[in-house]
Amino acid sequence: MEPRRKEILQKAGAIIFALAIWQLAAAAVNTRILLVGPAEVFMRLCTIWQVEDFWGSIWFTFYHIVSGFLLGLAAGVLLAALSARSHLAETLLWPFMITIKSVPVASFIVICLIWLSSKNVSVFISFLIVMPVVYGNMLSGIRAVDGNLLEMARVFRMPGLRKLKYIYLPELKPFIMSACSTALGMSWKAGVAAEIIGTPDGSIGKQLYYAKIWVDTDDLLCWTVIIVICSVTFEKLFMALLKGMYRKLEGA
Amino acid sequence: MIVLSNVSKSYGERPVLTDFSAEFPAGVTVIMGPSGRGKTTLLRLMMGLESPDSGAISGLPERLAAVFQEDRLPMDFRAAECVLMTADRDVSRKKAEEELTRLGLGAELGKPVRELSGGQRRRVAAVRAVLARPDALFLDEAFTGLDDAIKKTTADYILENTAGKIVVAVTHDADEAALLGGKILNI
Repeated sequence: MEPRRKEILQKAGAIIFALAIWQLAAAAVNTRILLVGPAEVFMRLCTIWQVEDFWGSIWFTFYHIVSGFLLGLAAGVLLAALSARSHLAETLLWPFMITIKSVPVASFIVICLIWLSSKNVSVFISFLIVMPVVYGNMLSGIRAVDGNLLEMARVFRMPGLRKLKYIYLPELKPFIMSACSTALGMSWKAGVAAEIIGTPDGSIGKQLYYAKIWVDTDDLLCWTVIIVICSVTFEKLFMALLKGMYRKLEGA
Repeated sequence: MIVLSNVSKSYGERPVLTDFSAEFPAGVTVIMGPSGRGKTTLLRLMMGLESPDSGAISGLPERLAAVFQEDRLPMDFRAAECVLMTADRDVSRKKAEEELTRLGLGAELGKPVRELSGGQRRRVAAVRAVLARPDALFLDEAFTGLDDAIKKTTADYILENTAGKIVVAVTHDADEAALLGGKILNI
Protein backbone atom coordinates (compact mmCIF):
# COMPACT_ATOMS: atom_id res chain seq x y z
CA MET A 1 0.00 0.00 0.00
CA GLU A 2 1.38 3.43 -0.90
CA PRO A 3 2.46 5.47 2.19
CA ARG A 4 0.01 8.37 1.59
CA ARG A 5 -2.99 6.02 1.34
CA LYS A 6 -1.79 4.13 4.42
CA GLU A 7 -1.51 7.38 6.39
CA ILE A 8 -5.05 8.46 5.38
CA LEU A 9 -6.46 5.07 6.43
CA GLN A 10 -4.60 5.24 9.75
CA LYS A 11 -5.99 8.71 10.45
CA ALA A 12 -9.52 7.64 9.50
CA GLY A 13 -9.12 4.70 11.88
CA ALA A 14 -8.00 7.04 14.68
CA ILE A 15 -11.06 9.28 14.13
CA ILE A 16 -13.43 6.28 14.22
CA PHE A 17 -11.71 5.08 17.41
CA ALA A 18 -12.11 8.53 19.06
CA LEU A 19 -15.81 8.70 18.05
CA ALA A 20 -16.35 5.19 19.42
CA ILE A 21 -14.78 6.19 22.76
CA TRP A 22 -17.00 9.29 22.83
CA GLN A 23 -20.14 7.20 22.08
CA LEU A 24 -19.20 4.65 24.74
CA ALA A 25 -18.59 7.40 27.30
CA ALA A 26 -21.99 8.95 26.50
CA ALA A 27 -23.64 5.54 26.86
CA ALA A 28 -21.84 4.94 30.17
CA VAL A 29 -22.84 8.35 31.58
CA ASN A 30 -26.34 7.89 30.16
CA THR A 31 -27.39 11.46 31.05
CA ARG A 32 -27.98 13.77 28.10
CA ILE A 33 -27.40 16.85 30.24
CA LEU A 34 -23.84 15.77 30.99
CA LEU A 35 -22.77 14.21 27.69
CA VAL A 36 -24.42 13.36 24.40
CA GLY A 37 -22.83 11.02 21.90
CA PRO A 38 -21.57 11.84 18.41
CA ALA A 39 -24.66 10.31 16.81
CA GLU A 40 -26.97 12.75 18.64
CA VAL A 41 -24.69 15.67 17.77
CA PHE A 42 -24.74 14.63 14.13
CA MET A 43 -28.55 14.40 14.19
CA ARG A 44 -28.73 17.88 15.71
CA LEU A 45 -26.32 19.19 13.05
CA CYS A 46 -28.81 18.06 10.41
CA THR A 47 -31.56 20.24 11.91
CA ILE A 48 -29.79 23.15 13.60
CA TRP A 49 -29.70 25.21 10.40
CA GLN A 50 -33.46 25.69 10.90
CA VAL A 51 -32.77 27.66 14.10
CA GLU A 52 -33.69 31.32 13.72
CA ASP A 53 -30.74 33.40 12.48
CA PHE A 54 -28.48 30.34 12.08
CA TRP A 55 -26.63 31.68 9.03
CA GLY A 56 -26.67 35.20 10.48
CA SER A 57 -24.87 33.95 13.61
CA ILE A 58 -22.23 32.17 11.56
CA TRP A 59 -21.70 35.24 9.36
CA PHE A 60 -21.51 37.59 12.38
CA THR A 61 -18.84 35.49 14.12
CA PHE A 62 -16.95 34.78 10.91
CA TYR A 63 -16.94 38.43 9.86
CA HIS A 64 -15.74 39.73 13.22
CA ILE A 65 -13.07 37.11 13.88
CA VAL A 66 -11.70 37.22 10.34
CA SER A 67 -11.62 41.04 10.45
CA GLY A 68 -9.63 40.87 13.70
CA PHE A 69 -7.30 38.29 12.17
CA LEU A 70 -6.64 40.38 9.05
CA LEU A 71 -6.10 43.55 11.07
CA GLY A 72 -3.72 41.68 13.41
CA LEU A 73 -1.86 40.25 10.42
CA ALA A 74 -1.44 43.67 8.81
CA ALA A 75 -0.42 45.37 12.07
CA GLY A 76 2.00 42.54 12.97
CA VAL A 77 3.72 42.76 9.57
CA LEU A 78 3.97 46.57 9.60
CA LEU A 79 5.22 46.77 13.19
CA ALA A 80 7.78 44.00 12.55
CA ALA A 81 9.05 45.92 9.51
CA LEU A 82 9.28 49.05 11.66
CA SER A 83 11.11 47.23 14.47
CA ALA A 84 13.53 45.64 12.03
CA ARG A 85 14.49 49.11 10.80
CA SER A 86 14.57 50.88 14.14
CA HIS A 87 15.89 49.51 17.41
CA LEU A 88 14.08 52.36 19.19
CA ALA A 89 10.74 51.21 17.75
CA GLU A 90 11.45 47.63 18.82
CA THR A 91 12.32 48.77 22.35
CA LEU A 92 9.21 50.96 22.58
CA LEU A 93 6.98 48.13 21.36
CA TRP A 94 8.54 45.53 23.65
CA PRO A 95 6.44 46.25 26.81
CA PHE A 96 3.22 46.22 24.75
CA MET A 97 4.06 42.89 23.14
CA ILE A 98 5.07 41.32 26.46
CA THR A 99 1.87 42.61 28.10
CA ILE A 100 -0.38 41.36 25.30
CA LYS A 101 1.29 37.95 25.36
CA SER A 102 1.24 37.46 29.13
CA VAL A 103 -2.12 38.97 30.23
CA PRO A 104 -4.87 36.29 30.23
CA VAL A 105 -7.31 36.61 27.34
CA ALA A 106 -10.27 36.67 29.75
CA SER A 107 -8.88 39.82 31.43
CA PHE A 108 -8.59 41.54 28.06
CA ILE A 109 -12.14 40.52 27.17
CA VAL A 110 -13.53 42.02 30.38
CA ILE A 111 -11.47 45.22 29.96
CA CYS A 112 -12.58 45.50 26.32
CA LEU A 113 -16.22 45.12 27.33
CA ILE A 114 -15.79 48.30 29.39
CA TRP A 115 -14.21 50.17 26.46
CA LEU A 116 -16.08 48.79 23.46
CA SER A 117 -19.56 47.60 22.57
CA SER A 118 -19.89 43.84 22.96
CA LYS A 119 -20.43 43.65 19.19
CA ASN A 120 -16.81 44.60 18.47
CA VAL A 121 -15.04 42.77 21.27
CA SER A 122 -14.34 39.64 19.20
CA VAL A 123 -12.66 41.81 16.50
CA PHE A 124 -10.38 43.42 19.07
CA ILE A 125 -9.57 40.17 20.91
CA SER A 126 -8.85 38.33 17.70
CA PHE A 127 -6.58 41.25 16.67
CA LEU A 128 -4.78 41.17 20.04
CA ILE A 129 -4.12 37.45 19.82
CA VAL A 130 -2.91 37.48 16.22
CA MET A 131 -0.77 40.62 16.20
CA PRO A 132 2.06 39.55 18.58
CA VAL A 133 2.33 36.11 16.99
CA VAL A 134 2.70 37.65 13.53
CA TYR A 135 4.99 40.39 14.86
CA GLY A 136 7.38 37.91 16.53
CA ASN A 137 7.53 35.58 13.54
CA MET A 138 7.96 38.35 10.99
CA LEU A 139 10.66 40.12 13.01
CA SER A 140 12.63 36.86 13.24
CA GLY A 141 12.04 36.36 9.52
CA ILE A 142 13.22 39.82 8.50
CA ARG A 143 16.36 39.35 10.63
CA ALA A 144 17.03 36.01 8.95
CA VAL A 145 16.88 37.38 5.40
CA ASP A 146 20.02 36.34 3.49
CA GLY A 147 22.57 39.16 3.88
CA ASN A 148 24.27 38.15 0.62
CA LEU A 149 21.06 38.80 -1.32
CA LEU A 150 20.64 42.18 0.37
CA GLU A 151 24.22 43.11 -0.56
CA MET A 152 23.55 42.06 -4.13
CA ALA A 153 20.45 44.29 -4.13
CA ARG A 154 22.56 47.22 -2.89
CA VAL A 155 25.14 46.78 -5.64
CA PHE A 156 22.48 46.54 -8.37
CA ARG A 157 20.51 49.43 -6.78
CA MET A 158 17.34 47.31 -6.81
CA PRO A 159 14.17 49.35 -6.26
CA GLY A 160 12.13 48.66 -3.11
CA LEU A 161 9.30 46.81 -4.85
CA ARG A 162 11.67 44.43 -6.61
CA LYS A 163 13.47 43.79 -3.31
CA LEU A 164 10.11 42.98 -1.75
CA LYS A 165 9.14 40.61 -4.57
CA TYR A 166 12.43 38.80 -5.11
CA ILE A 167 14.09 38.90 -1.68
CA TYR A 168 11.82 39.68 1.26
CA LEU A 169 8.62 37.82 0.33
CA PRO A 170 10.40 34.57 -0.67
CA GLU A 171 12.72 34.67 2.35
CA LEU A 172 9.79 35.37 4.69
CA LYS A 173 7.64 32.56 3.29
CA PRO A 174 8.22 29.97 6.08
CA PHE A 175 7.76 32.65 8.75
CA ILE A 176 4.49 33.97 7.24
CA MET A 177 3.15 30.43 6.80
CA SER A 178 4.00 29.44 10.35
CA ALA A 179 2.61 32.68 11.85
CA CYS A 180 -0.68 32.43 9.93
CA SER A 181 -1.14 28.75 10.67
CA THR A 182 -0.68 29.33 14.41
CA ALA A 183 -2.62 32.60 14.60
CA LEU A 184 -5.65 31.40 12.61
CA GLY A 185 -6.64 28.74 15.15
CA MET A 186 -5.89 31.03 18.10
CA SER A 187 -8.01 33.86 16.67
CA TRP A 188 -11.08 31.62 16.48
CA LYS A 189 -10.60 30.25 20.01
CA ALA A 190 -10.11 33.70 21.55
CA GLY A 191 -12.77 35.38 19.38
CA VAL A 192 -15.48 32.89 20.35
CA ALA A 193 -14.43 33.14 24.03
CA ALA A 194 -14.92 36.92 23.74
CA GLU A 195 -18.39 36.38 22.27
CA ILE A 196 -19.38 33.98 25.04
CA ILE A 197 -18.42 36.54 27.69
CA GLY A 198 -19.74 39.58 25.79
CA THR A 199 -22.78 37.75 24.31
CA PRO A 200 -23.27 40.14 21.36
CA ASP A 201 -26.64 39.69 19.63
CA GLY A 202 -26.64 37.39 16.64
CA SER A 203 -23.31 35.67 17.34
CA ILE A 204 -22.31 32.02 17.74
CA GLY A 205 -21.01 32.98 21.19
CA LYS A 206 -24.51 33.98 22.25
CA GLN A 207 -25.91 30.70 20.89
CA LEU A 208 -23.31 28.83 22.96
CA TYR A 209 -24.16 30.93 25.99
CA TYR A 210 -27.88 30.11 25.63
CA ALA A 211 -27.06 26.43 25.21
CA LYS A 212 -25.18 26.59 28.51
CA ILE A 213 -28.04 28.49 30.27
CA TRP A 214 -30.61 25.92 29.09
CA VAL A 215 -28.18 23.05 29.76
CA ASP A 216 -28.74 22.01 26.15
CA THR A 217 -25.70 19.79 25.64
CA ASP A 218 -26.79 18.78 22.12
CA ASP A 219 -26.75 22.40 20.98
CA LEU A 220 -23.58 23.18 22.93
CA LEU A 221 -21.61 20.42 21.20
CA CYS A 222 -23.32 21.08 17.87
CA TRP A 223 -22.31 24.78 17.87
CA THR A 224 -18.82 23.73 18.95
CA VAL A 225 -18.59 21.46 15.92
CA ILE A 226 -19.79 24.35 13.72
CA ILE A 227 -17.07 26.62 15.15
CA VAL A 228 -14.45 23.96 14.42
CA ILE A 229 -15.78 23.56 10.86
CA CYS A 230 -15.69 27.36 10.28
CA SER A 231 -12.21 27.68 11.80
CA VAL A 232 -10.68 24.76 9.89
CA THR A 233 -12.38 25.78 6.61
CA PHE A 234 -11.11 29.35 6.88
CA GLU A 235 -7.63 28.14 7.84
CA LYS A 236 -7.48 25.79 4.84
CA LEU A 237 -8.81 28.47 2.47
CA PHE A 238 -6.47 31.17 3.75
CA MET A 239 -3.40 28.92 3.66
CA ALA A 240 -4.33 27.76 0.13
CA LEU A 241 -4.67 31.40 -0.91
CA LEU A 242 -1.26 32.21 0.60
CA LYS A 243 0.37 29.22 -1.13
CA GLY A 244 -1.32 30.21 -4.40
CA MET A 245 0.02 33.74 -4.04
CA TYR A 246 3.53 32.36 -3.55
CA ARG A 247 3.19 30.02 -6.54
CA LYS A 248 2.19 33.03 -8.65
CA LEU A 249 5.07 35.08 -7.24
CA GLU A 250 7.59 32.36 -8.05
CA GLY A 251 6.10 32.02 -11.53
CA ALA A 252 5.28 28.31 -11.12
CA MET B 1 37.13 55.96 -14.59
CA ILE B 2 37.11 54.76 -10.98
CA VAL B 3 39.95 56.27 -8.97
CA LEU B 4 41.13 55.02 -5.59
CA SER B 5 43.40 57.48 -3.77
CA ASN B 6 45.39 56.40 -0.71
CA VAL B 7 42.70 53.98 0.42
CA SER B 8 43.27 52.08 3.66
CA LYS B 9 41.01 49.44 5.15
CA SER B 10 41.40 47.28 8.24
CA TYR B 11 39.22 44.64 9.83
CA GLY B 12 39.77 45.10 13.53
CA GLU B 13 43.53 45.17 14.11
CA ARG B 14 44.30 43.53 10.76
CA PRO B 15 45.14 45.97 7.94
CA VAL B 16 43.98 44.65 4.55
CA LEU B 17 44.79 47.63 2.33
CA THR B 18 47.24 50.38 3.22
CA ASP B 19 47.51 53.63 1.26
CA PHE B 20 46.35 51.88 -1.89
CA SER B 21 45.95 53.94 -5.05
CA ALA B 22 44.84 52.76 -8.49
CA GLU B 23 42.82 53.81 -11.51
CA PHE B 24 40.26 51.64 -13.25
CA PRO B 25 39.49 53.05 -16.70
CA ALA B 26 36.94 51.71 -19.20
CA GLY B 27 37.91 48.21 -20.33
CA VAL B 28 38.96 45.16 -18.37
CA THR B 29 41.24 45.30 -15.34
CA VAL B 30 42.08 42.00 -13.66
CA ILE B 31 43.21 42.17 -10.05
CA MET B 32 45.48 39.27 -9.14
CA GLY B 33 47.38 38.31 -6.06
CA PRO B 34 47.63 35.66 -3.37
CA SER B 35 44.84 35.04 -0.89
CA GLY B 36 44.46 37.55 1.93
CA ARG B 37 45.91 40.49 0.00
CA GLY B 38 42.60 42.34 -0.11
CA LYS B 39 41.39 41.61 -3.65
CA THR B 40 37.78 41.01 -2.61
CA THR B 41 37.94 43.91 -0.13
CA LEU B 42 39.01 46.16 -3.00
CA LEU B 43 35.96 45.08 -5.03
CA ARG B 44 33.67 45.54 -2.02
CA LEU B 45 34.98 49.06 -1.54
CA MET B 46 34.30 49.89 -5.18
CA MET B 47 30.84 48.31 -5.03
CA GLY B 48 30.00 50.49 -2.05
CA LEU B 49 29.63 47.53 0.32
CA GLU B 50 32.45 48.75 2.56
CA SER B 51 33.72 52.21 3.45
CA PRO B 52 37.43 52.95 3.47
CA ASP B 53 39.00 53.86 6.83
CA SER B 54 40.86 56.62 5.01
CA GLY B 55 41.44 57.79 1.45
CA ALA B 56 38.87 58.38 -1.28
CA ILE B 57 37.09 56.54 -4.07
CA SER B 58 35.84 58.69 -6.91
CA GLY B 59 34.34 58.28 -10.37
CA LEU B 60 31.96 55.49 -9.43
CA PRO B 61 29.23 55.28 -12.06
CA GLU B 62 25.54 55.12 -11.13
CA ARG B 63 24.78 51.71 -12.60
CA LEU B 64 26.76 48.85 -11.12
CA ALA B 65 26.49 45.08 -11.45
CA ALA B 66 28.43 42.13 -10.13
CA VAL B 67 28.97 38.40 -10.39
CA PHE B 68 29.88 37.29 -6.90
CA GLN B 69 31.87 34.32 -5.61
CA GLU B 70 28.57 32.94 -4.36
CA ASP B 71 25.67 33.01 -6.82
CA ARG B 72 23.38 35.22 -4.70
CA LEU B 73 20.25 34.15 -6.58
CA PRO B 74 16.76 33.73 -5.09
CA MET B 75 16.54 29.94 -5.21
CA ASP B 76 12.77 29.55 -5.64
CA PHE B 77 12.63 31.57 -8.85
CA ARG B 78 13.30 30.45 -12.40
CA ALA B 79 16.40 31.67 -14.21
CA ALA B 80 14.54 34.31 -16.27
CA GLU B 81 13.01 35.80 -13.11
CA CYS B 82 16.48 35.95 -11.54
CA VAL B 83 17.65 37.94 -14.53
CA LEU B 84 14.62 40.24 -14.56
CA MET B 85 14.99 41.06 -10.85
CA THR B 86 17.87 43.43 -11.58
CA ALA B 87 17.45 43.94 -15.32
CA ASP B 88 17.06 47.26 -17.00
CA ARG B 89 13.35 48.12 -17.38
CA ASP B 90 13.33 47.61 -21.16
CA VAL B 91 14.53 44.00 -20.86
CA SER B 92 11.65 41.64 -21.61
CA ARG B 93 11.23 38.06 -20.37
CA LYS B 94 11.76 36.91 -23.96
CA LYS B 95 15.09 38.74 -24.12
CA ALA B 96 16.16 37.25 -20.76
CA GLU B 97 15.29 33.75 -21.96
CA GLU B 98 17.13 34.28 -25.26
CA GLU B 99 20.28 35.35 -23.45
CA LEU B 100 20.07 32.41 -21.04
CA THR B 101 19.63 30.08 -24.02
CA ARG B 102 22.75 31.60 -25.61
CA LEU B 103 24.70 30.45 -22.58
CA GLY B 104 23.34 26.91 -22.88
CA LEU B 105 20.51 27.17 -20.36
CA GLY B 106 17.60 26.75 -22.81
CA ALA B 107 16.60 23.38 -21.38
CA GLU B 108 16.62 24.70 -17.82
CA LEU B 109 14.26 27.66 -18.22
CA GLY B 110 11.34 25.90 -16.55
CA LYS B 111 13.24 24.90 -13.42
CA PRO B 112 13.70 26.89 -10.23
CA VAL B 113 17.31 27.93 -9.70
CA ARG B 114 17.71 25.55 -6.74
CA GLU B 115 17.51 22.65 -9.21
CA LEU B 116 20.37 23.98 -11.39
CA SER B 117 24.00 22.92 -11.01
CA GLY B 118 26.62 25.32 -9.61
CA GLY B 119 27.95 26.05 -13.12
CA GLN B 120 24.46 26.74 -14.46
CA ARG B 121 23.71 29.12 -11.60
CA ARG B 122 26.94 30.97 -12.28
CA ARG B 123 25.83 31.50 -15.89
CA VAL B 124 22.46 32.81 -14.69
CA ALA B 125 24.36 35.28 -12.50
CA ALA B 126 26.45 36.33 -15.53
CA VAL B 127 23.35 37.01 -17.67
CA ARG B 128 21.78 38.88 -14.75
CA ALA B 129 24.84 41.14 -14.49
CA VAL B 130 24.97 41.82 -18.23
CA LEU B 131 21.25 42.60 -18.60
CA ALA B 132 21.42 45.08 -15.73
CA ARG B 133 23.28 47.12 -18.41
CA PRO B 134 25.87 48.41 -15.95
CA ASP B 135 28.43 51.13 -16.49
CA ALA B 136 30.77 49.20 -14.20
CA LEU B 137 30.80 45.42 -13.78
CA PHE B 138 32.62 43.62 -10.97
CA LEU B 139 33.57 39.96 -11.29
CA ASP B 140 34.67 38.26 -8.09
CA GLU B 141 36.09 34.82 -9.01
CA ALA B 142 33.18 34.73 -11.46
CA PHE B 143 34.25 31.64 -13.39
CA THR B 144 34.87 29.28 -10.49
CA GLY B 145 33.02 26.01 -11.02
CA LEU B 146 32.74 26.29 -14.79
CA ASP B 147 34.46 23.86 -17.15
CA ASP B 148 36.91 25.32 -19.66
CA ALA B 149 34.52 25.46 -22.65
CA ILE B 150 31.71 27.13 -20.67
CA LYS B 151 34.24 29.42 -18.97
CA LYS B 152 35.27 30.71 -22.40
CA THR B 153 31.68 31.08 -23.65
CA THR B 154 30.69 32.96 -20.48
CA ALA B 155 33.77 35.22 -20.58
CA ASP B 156 33.18 36.00 -24.27
CA TYR B 157 29.52 36.74 -23.55
CA ILE B 158 30.42 39.16 -20.75
CA LEU B 159 33.15 40.90 -22.74
CA GLU B 160 31.00 41.23 -25.85
CA ASN B 161 28.19 42.87 -23.87
CA THR B 162 30.28 45.21 -21.76
CA ALA B 163 32.49 46.76 -24.43
CA GLY B 164 33.42 50.32 -23.48
CA LYS B 165 32.37 49.82 -19.85
CA ILE B 166 34.50 49.47 -16.74
CA VAL B 167 35.04 45.78 -15.93
CA VAL B 168 37.01 44.91 -12.81
CA ALA B 169 37.69 41.21 -12.21
CA VAL B 170 39.31 39.47 -9.28
CA THR B 171 40.91 36.08 -9.79
CA HIS B 172 43.82 34.00 -8.55
CA ASP B 173 43.82 31.94 -11.76
CA ALA B 174 46.21 33.10 -14.51
CA ASP B 175 44.20 31.24 -17.18
CA GLU B 176 41.05 33.12 -16.23
CA ALA B 177 42.97 36.39 -16.34
CA ALA B 178 44.20 35.53 -19.84
CA LEU B 179 40.64 34.67 -20.89
CA LEU B 180 39.46 38.14 -19.88
CA GLY B 181 42.49 39.94 -21.35
CA GLY B 182 42.91 43.56 -20.36
CA LYS B 183 45.21 45.13 -17.82
CA ILE B 184 46.58 43.04 -14.93
CA LEU B 185 46.92 44.66 -11.51
CA ASN B 186 48.96 42.64 -9.04
CA ILE B 187 48.42 43.46 -5.39
